[in-house]
Amino acid sequence: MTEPEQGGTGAVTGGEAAGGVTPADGDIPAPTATTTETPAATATEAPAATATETPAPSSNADDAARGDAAPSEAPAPSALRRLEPSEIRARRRPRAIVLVWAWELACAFFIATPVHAWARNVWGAHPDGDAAIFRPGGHALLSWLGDEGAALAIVVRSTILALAVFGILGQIVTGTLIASLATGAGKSGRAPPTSFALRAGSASFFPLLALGVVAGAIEGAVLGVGLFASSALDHALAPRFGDARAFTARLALLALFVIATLVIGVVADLARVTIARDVAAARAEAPATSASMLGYLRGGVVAAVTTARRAVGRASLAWGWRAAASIALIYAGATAGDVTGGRGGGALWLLFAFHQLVVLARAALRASWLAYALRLVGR
Amino acid sequence: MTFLGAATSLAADGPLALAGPPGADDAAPDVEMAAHAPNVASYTLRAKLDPTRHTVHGEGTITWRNASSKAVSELWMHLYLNAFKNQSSVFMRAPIGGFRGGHIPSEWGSIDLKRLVLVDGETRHDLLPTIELRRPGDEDETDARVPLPREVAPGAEIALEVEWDDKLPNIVERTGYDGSFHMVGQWFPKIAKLEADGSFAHFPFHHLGEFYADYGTYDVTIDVPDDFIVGATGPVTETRREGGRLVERHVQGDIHDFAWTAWDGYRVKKETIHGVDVTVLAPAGYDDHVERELETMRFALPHYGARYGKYPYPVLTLVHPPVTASEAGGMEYPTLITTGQPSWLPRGLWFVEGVTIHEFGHQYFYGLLASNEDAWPFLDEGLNSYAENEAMAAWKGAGSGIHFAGLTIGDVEAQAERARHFGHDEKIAQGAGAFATGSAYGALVYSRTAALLETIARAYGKAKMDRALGVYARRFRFRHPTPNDLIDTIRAEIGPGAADNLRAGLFDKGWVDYTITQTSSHPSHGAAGMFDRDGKRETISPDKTARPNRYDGSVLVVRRGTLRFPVEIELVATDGSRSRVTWDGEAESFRVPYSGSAALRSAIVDPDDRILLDEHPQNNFATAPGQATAGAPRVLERGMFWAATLLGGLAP
Repeated sequence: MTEPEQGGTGAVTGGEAAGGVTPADGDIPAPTATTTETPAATATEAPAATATETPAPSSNADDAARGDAAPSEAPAPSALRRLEPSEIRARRRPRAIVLVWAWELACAFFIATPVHAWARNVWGAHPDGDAAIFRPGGHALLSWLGDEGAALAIVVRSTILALAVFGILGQIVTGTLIASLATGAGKSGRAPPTSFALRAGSASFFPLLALGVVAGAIEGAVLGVGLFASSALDHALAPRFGDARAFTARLALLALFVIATLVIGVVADLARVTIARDVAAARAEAPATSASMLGYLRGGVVAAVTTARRAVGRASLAWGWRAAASIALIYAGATAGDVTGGRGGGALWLLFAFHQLVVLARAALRASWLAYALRLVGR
Repeated sequence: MTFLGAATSLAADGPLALAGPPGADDAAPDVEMAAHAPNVASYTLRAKLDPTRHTVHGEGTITWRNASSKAVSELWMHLYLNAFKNQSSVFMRAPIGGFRGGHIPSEWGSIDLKRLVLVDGETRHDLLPTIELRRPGDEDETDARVPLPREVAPGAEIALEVEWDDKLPNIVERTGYDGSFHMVGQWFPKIAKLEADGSFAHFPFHHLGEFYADYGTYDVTIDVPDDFIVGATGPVTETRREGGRLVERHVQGDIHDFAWTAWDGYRVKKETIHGVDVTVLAPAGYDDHVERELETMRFALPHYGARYGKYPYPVLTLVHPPVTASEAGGMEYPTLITTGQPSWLPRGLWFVEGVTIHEFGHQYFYGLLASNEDAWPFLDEGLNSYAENEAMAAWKGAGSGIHFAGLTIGDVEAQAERARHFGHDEKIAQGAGAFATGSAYGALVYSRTAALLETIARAYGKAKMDRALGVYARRFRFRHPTPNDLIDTIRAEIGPGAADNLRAGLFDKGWVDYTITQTSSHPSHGAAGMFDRDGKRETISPDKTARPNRYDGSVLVVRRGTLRFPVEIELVATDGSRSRVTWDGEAESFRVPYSGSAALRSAIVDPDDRILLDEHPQNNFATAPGQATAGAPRVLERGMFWAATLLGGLAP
């Protein structure tokens, strides 16, 4: 798993709140100890120092008024601090969530442009436009896809390429979101300026990318072993128990590997939030400091493994329900598209609005999960 | 009455007696339909299976009548299991790809005749020494010539005693074994079809070819280990267990082949549907598929009965082979069909239903009409594919192929798409062995025939097509119709245009592509220019003759290709109003004039997708110059949603 499902309304259950937990300095890992180039000492000390001065998180109303309010009220970077676990809440960062949604909207437009241009070129002159390819039966759709293999190949390749590029660049957005969640200013922990969060996100790009590559490779290997093992089990059982029962056993075994892969993804997210948080905290203390990728990466992994050893169940559950909600949202979006079919005009605008609400809600769920992960690694 | 009694009485009624009164919903209630087939080749056989050596020992008697107008001095006998004997068989050496059965069996199969005796009164002639298994220079042993010691006069009958040993291959194209599963098809020495002119329609077993035979009564006793379950053509008339063996006797008249299966892994479910005892044999864990297949038969038996005449047999057996023997699936024999598809296939992907209804449809086009599948495979597979498409659409609607995950794909639309890519390669109406590739065979024989018939149905009226095929299926039941019989029926029931298109589509690689090459629209005005009137020259400018709030224009529709279907042309104005014009499609082009209170925005030929054979549906429309196109906002919207969704899986 490269990233768990994102999204959500930002609602965090009471059981997830970590109010009253005293932050441990030891939670700021490796970079502090191994890299002289990073502001290790200040990064580790700053949260502890401010923690004693920081009261319990303020109310939501306060946050709404002070947190994401007018940019003019945003504190200077030097006034920023790493937030206590109990202060970290996705609902206190609505602007960051909206920025994530806006990023996804912009990316989606670019990614969808090749197929849109192709469809417009072929079907645009039809009296009903591309409604023809949404007709039940699929005559126009099949003839289009079947007759234009060369264009299809170009569109598929360019779309995959665009997805990959934006997926890689998305590490910056992940880092930005985590920086916004993990840092704040003042007693209430107001949101950091967008420019700061973006710079912090950019600074965490390479460590996050490296983590993504490593985690992806591990997940891929586990899944590959699962596919091989389940296939072997299927073949071994089929002669004795029949192919249907053997296939059920195959699915059951594969499901175990898929769960293992998802858990690895959850642990990777714990490392992800640790890395981005530490990068942001370091930049909050010393903006000009450059980070050591390997140091942050090692620190993130150590913190994630440490956290996972004591709380992998809680983390997986917290990720799991959000992932389930996210999948339900996707299903709702797909169903809405199915119901709308080839209708245009107002129905199409309504569908667009609903789909974007789904994307926004998924971004909020994602932020909610990352906030939970931050609280977990911060304890 | 026992099953045996029923079968005997069917045969005793004699050939071509008329069936009972038609049902109220019959497609062709006024057409007479034969109740029974002529008895030409009848087989009384015994078969004993050794499931560990995968062999069948067979023996019995064949009675054969010379139903032609000429005396016959030789027989041709098909020994089709020899197709799997070695790589020199016609089947194995055909350089055909893109179709089923392409792999070399790891266990070869064969049929060895041990005894062949002509019983001529008190005299017995051993025919084995004179049998000619091979032709000079050809090692194929699937098509044997049997010289007779004397001529058989027209109408005379002879009896042959036979004994043979089968070695089943591991499953290759419809027949063989997989573990203890055995599908036993083309397993006995079978006399080739005798045509009316006294010639035999005999042919070696080709990779793409199927079968052709005379009707008769089959009385077959099958002997297997008693923990096996047997499925076979015709009803069980006798069952006994002795010495650790199960012995079943199956008897059925009015059929032209016999197949059976035996396996110790079958689960059995039975249900009487529309007066027919339906049995489903399937592996463990396939309960949902069994139910889906029964659901299919609950729809198909009355549906096909109304369209093509009542299913005349008392039983139907559906065999769902294990997935490791999928090559045995998707095949038809009289009163026995094999289905398929893996256990995990969800509803909405209607492939279980599709294969079941397709194989059941063969009971009509292969079983009851029995055309020469080797010479004219489209008469079975093509017509049956059309019938499958029609039935699936009637049952499942627009998503008759796939209705899953937002996709609504029709069975016939999928066939049409496949058909378009092979239309110029080869003609449909040719022998199975003449096709260059299995892909072309599949796309032309199955898909293009179905798409051609569907196009005719949509262009000339579905009710007419229902009746035409209803007449054809009833009139030629048990009579081995030819392509001309089909075309003549279409001509009589739908019209000469439909028949000409059918002939061109089948025999001449007929094709068609409608397109709009020109669209114009402008404000309406009278004629401008210089006019000599009353001795004076008058110059009239266009603005002087303008007609306020009126627009003129035209659309030029061109028909490319050799098929001529009537089509509709729809004109769309800028105010959203639409009007339609019908063109008979006979000429090569047609100019449609336009006049209206709003400018012409766009036009489309065949707006309802009736011409499924149209080569390029993407050139069927045009927007007038200067008018805004409708664009592709739906693709952009859906594309953005799914792009954001995918992106969310990578990073926010």
